[in-house]
Amino acid sequence: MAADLATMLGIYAYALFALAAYSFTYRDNVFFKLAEHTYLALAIGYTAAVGYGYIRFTAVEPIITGKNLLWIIPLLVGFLFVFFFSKKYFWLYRFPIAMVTGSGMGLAMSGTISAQFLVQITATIGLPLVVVHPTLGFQAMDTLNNWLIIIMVIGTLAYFFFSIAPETGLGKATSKAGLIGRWTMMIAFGSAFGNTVMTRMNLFIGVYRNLLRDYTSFIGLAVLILVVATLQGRREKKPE
Amino acid sequence: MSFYKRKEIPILLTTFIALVMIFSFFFKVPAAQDFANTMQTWVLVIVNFTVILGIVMITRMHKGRIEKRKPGDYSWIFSVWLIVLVIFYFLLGVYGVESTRSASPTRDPAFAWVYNNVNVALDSAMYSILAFYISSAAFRAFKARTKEAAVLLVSAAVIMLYNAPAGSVIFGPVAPQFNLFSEWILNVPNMAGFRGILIGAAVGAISLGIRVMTGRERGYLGAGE
Amino acid sequence: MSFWKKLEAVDVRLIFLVLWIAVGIPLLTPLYLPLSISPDTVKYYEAVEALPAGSVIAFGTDVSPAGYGGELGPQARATATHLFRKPLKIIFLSFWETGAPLIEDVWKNPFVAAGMKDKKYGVDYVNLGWVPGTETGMASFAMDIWKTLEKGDYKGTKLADLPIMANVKTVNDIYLLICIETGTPGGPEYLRQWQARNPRLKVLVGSLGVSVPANIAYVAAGQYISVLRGGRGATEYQRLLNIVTPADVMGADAMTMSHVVVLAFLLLGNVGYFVTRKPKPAKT
Repeated sequence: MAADLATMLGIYAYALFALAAYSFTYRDNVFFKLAEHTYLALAIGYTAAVGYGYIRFTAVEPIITGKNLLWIIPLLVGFLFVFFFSKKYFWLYRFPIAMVTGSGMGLAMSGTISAQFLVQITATIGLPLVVVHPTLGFQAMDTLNNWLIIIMVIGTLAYFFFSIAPETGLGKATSKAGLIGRWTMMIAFGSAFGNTVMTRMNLFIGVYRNLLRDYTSFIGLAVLILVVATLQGRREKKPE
Repeated sequence: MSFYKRKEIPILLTTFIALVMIFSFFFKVPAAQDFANTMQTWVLVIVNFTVILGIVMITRMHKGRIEKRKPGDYSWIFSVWLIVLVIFYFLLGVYGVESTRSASPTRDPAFAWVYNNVNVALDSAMYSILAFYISSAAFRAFKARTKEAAVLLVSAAVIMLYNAPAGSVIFGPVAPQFNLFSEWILNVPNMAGFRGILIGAAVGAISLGIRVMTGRERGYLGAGE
Repeated sequence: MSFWKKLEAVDVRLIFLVLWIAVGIPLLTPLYLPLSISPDTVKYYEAVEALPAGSVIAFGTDVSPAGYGGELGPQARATATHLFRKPLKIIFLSFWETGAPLIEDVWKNPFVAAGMKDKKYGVDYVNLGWVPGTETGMASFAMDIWKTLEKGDYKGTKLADLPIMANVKTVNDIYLLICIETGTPGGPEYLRQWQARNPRLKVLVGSLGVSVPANIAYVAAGQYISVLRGGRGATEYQRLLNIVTPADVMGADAMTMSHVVVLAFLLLGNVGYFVTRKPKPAKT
């Protein structure tokens, strides 16, 4: 009985907050403001609660049980973040931020060099300029594609070269190569836009499907929100 | 100013930790790897304290709105709602963690109910509002005013038709050729363009790292000496 | 005012209403529109199908609730269904605090639950929950899993009490990583912190459509075996696994209708632009 009630309340809560968020497409209204503020509050509350859980069982528990007292150090360093709000002791805030930045930066740099830099470059220059299949022979399409990829990658990189003077011979060559890069990126961004449409539409379809689980909540709450938003709009338009 | 308050010490700390991480990545020296691993697990705990900053800042901002409220303006009520909800949901999560003796507050049914029925609804709806604005922008803003814009729109249209599960049906008997063409667009010009962008971004990330480690980039340390 | 100028000035809320109706119709009744399967999805399917028995699989549900509700939930559920059909050791985890609770939602799916019936928690599969710290957390996990997860699994059970984790201490003990990603941290961060440390690590990625163009560069470089392309990839994968429900058919049809609507608006907008634009003045 309690489970059924919780499920029914859940369906209505989902419908209320989803439709409240969508009501912005009709006009700004109190339901949208409610949705906005609730979203922010729950996002912060959730992150804080999850962070509390991690600190509690990773650092605090070993200290309480005496297993590893060294965890006191990161707990104390973490608390230094609160000095962000102090004018006199602001310099203490820099220590935890330095540790977090140094750790993240070191990891990102070391991984980027191999995963994003070297591998992508070797994958480009390693493309065979003439593709010959052992049994099927010369592959014209694959050969053409490889040439296009190499030219287009170089063109895209040349587009972002700003440190060569355009008046020089090298500068002129870089500008021409950059032109190829520009057209390549137009096709790439077009494809990115096409894929973005799919993502956003699927997000909408996912919510819409959940709203249609129960027609009463969907239609009832939609009508309520539309009526309130319309009345609010009329009240705001009335001259003082 | 006292030496320990200057920015040079945190910059040295940043550089030291970054170099240890880089060293332990490329060289298998047990002592360096142990130190790097300890530092990483400590940073995982330290980074969770930043949420305190977020809570204090948002509370200050909305407290200011409540104090500055004018007669006839009721938006301050939402600020009260926000502050109360943040505290309530956080305390509910703490109760969930302590009562279930688990690091995850979603083990508690009440916390999970709010997450599944409100968080999820709002998160999904807020992100998907863009679907409506994409539709209106497609009608009003995305015009082929130049040759480059025309190429972008054609590429977008081809990919949209390819992504729609039944999109290639309109091409009838040449649907397989259309699919091959779409895959060519994704695997050749699109891939080449994004590979160039990835390599450029990697160069940017590495140069930013060097600037931070040499103290030329100090923005992350905040204002002041 | 000409027809095209009137059309251009139409209230934007009418456009939104057209979208609501166009997407709503197939969600009320399936249209059973046809669907082809792309080579990337076939490659993804074959990679999972070819997994040797007993392989250790890391399944990262690095998702936001929005991403999960749209494209990534179907991908995650289909992948989990496929994995549970085989004799594997599956480690579920998430580097997104919003993704960790969704692992249990994946398990509730009827097809996934059917595959889990003869599997034992802690022996055949485990849920390590949220690992904080984004990329730093990934690096820490890669170097020493047990030290990073002092808290234990998502219920607080220590790793020493989970037989599946007995021989899984670092990223070198993982055979395949499947990453269902919304954004950062996601695939590229796994490449930087996991695959850079274990070059033999195989990677499959399920991503949002918006990330597909960039992910194709990683597939072409051999860093990913393959990528599931957003909602379309999920729909194709469900067909290959034979786990399509009427709700999935409706979702696929709604996807088609939504794309048709956007394309129609794009076409109408551009036709109107070319019809109503003033001719360029002749050069003097």
